[in-house]
Amino acid sequence: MKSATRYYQVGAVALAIRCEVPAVLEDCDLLYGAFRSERSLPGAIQFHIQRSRTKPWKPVQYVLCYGDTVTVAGPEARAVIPELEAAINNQVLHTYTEYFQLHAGVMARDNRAVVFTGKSGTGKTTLTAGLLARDWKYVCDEFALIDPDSLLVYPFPKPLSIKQGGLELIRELGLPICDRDWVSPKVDRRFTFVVPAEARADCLAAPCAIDVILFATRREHMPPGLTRLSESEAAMTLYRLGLNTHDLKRAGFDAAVSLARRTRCFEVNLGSLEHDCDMIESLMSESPLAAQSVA
Amino acid sequence: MRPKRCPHLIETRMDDEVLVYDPAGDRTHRLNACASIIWERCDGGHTVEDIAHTLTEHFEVAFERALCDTQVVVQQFDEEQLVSGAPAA
Repeated sequence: MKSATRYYQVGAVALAIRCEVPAVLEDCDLLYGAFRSERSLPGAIQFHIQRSRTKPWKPVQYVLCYGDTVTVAGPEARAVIPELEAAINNQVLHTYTEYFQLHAGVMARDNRAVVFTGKSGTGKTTLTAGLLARDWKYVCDEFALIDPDSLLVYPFPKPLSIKQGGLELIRELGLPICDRDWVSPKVDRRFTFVVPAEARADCLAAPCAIDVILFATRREHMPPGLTRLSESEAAMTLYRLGLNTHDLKRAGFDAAVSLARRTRCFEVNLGSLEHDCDMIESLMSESPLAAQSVA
Repeated sequence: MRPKRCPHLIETRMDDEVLVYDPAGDRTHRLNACASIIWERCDGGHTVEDIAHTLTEHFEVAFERALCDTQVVVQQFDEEQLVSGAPAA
């Protein structure tokens, strides 16, 4: 079967996906269609998906190749997307090294961004979805790509990955959910996606300045709320959480210090989604940057 | 002995604290207010006793206690290879 290559410019990130399986290309277009480019994108991260069998009598497997890595997704086409998503994350981390990278969700309003970092399971994606439903603009849900010189955060608006347990809440928010789901056999997990570009035509953010950084935790025995961090505490935390601080070396330290100085940093114990979204909107309305824009 | 900050270090003051970045070891250190005062006087011109006297001017602390704290902190700086000329432990 003849393979085709799809190019997608997903904010700051360029992807090239070569594939000979029409069903998988359809999935890619479903998730990234809003970013499709008809011309090739120089410097795009390359992925190659193919069907393969190790022996003639063995079942066909879907195989994903990128960089020096070859990984077997499984015998079903719908196992490819979970593997591809993980591979995209991996490659963004290793390719876009000029950015100061944080594992974070980022949403923006009035061209000012709030960044929320936290361990997996803290509720970053839920918070992203909650703010998306309140007409905020979407920057990213996986990596905050921050230019260490300008301190602008660059968008990487990939679809929001929604686990089965989170579906009900997403439906309540009224966000569009893909009408199919995918299975990751490696983690035995079924999930689907919210494609932000389908939520609203104008929901994608441009590169923007960071106003607030939240270091999110979820401590059940503590009331939800915010604690302002000192500049030095924020700088150390950012330095520690930076995914590529050690690659950036001095520039990573400088970026952490500059971010701590130029933004308001809080530790936040998350509560209900409505409470958290209200709290963030209140924070942004109190911002010195908001006062400047009004003046 | 007059401890002296190693010249290759990058430092920045934030509020009353100092962050020190060691490019050679790619490590970062956060010094609290007390350690920051000690750090800033590790300039090769002050003895540990001089620095302890400075601490007594900033904090309500007896000289003996300040001297003990200064010796401990300077020793830690030395162990982290942030200063040279620290007194032997």
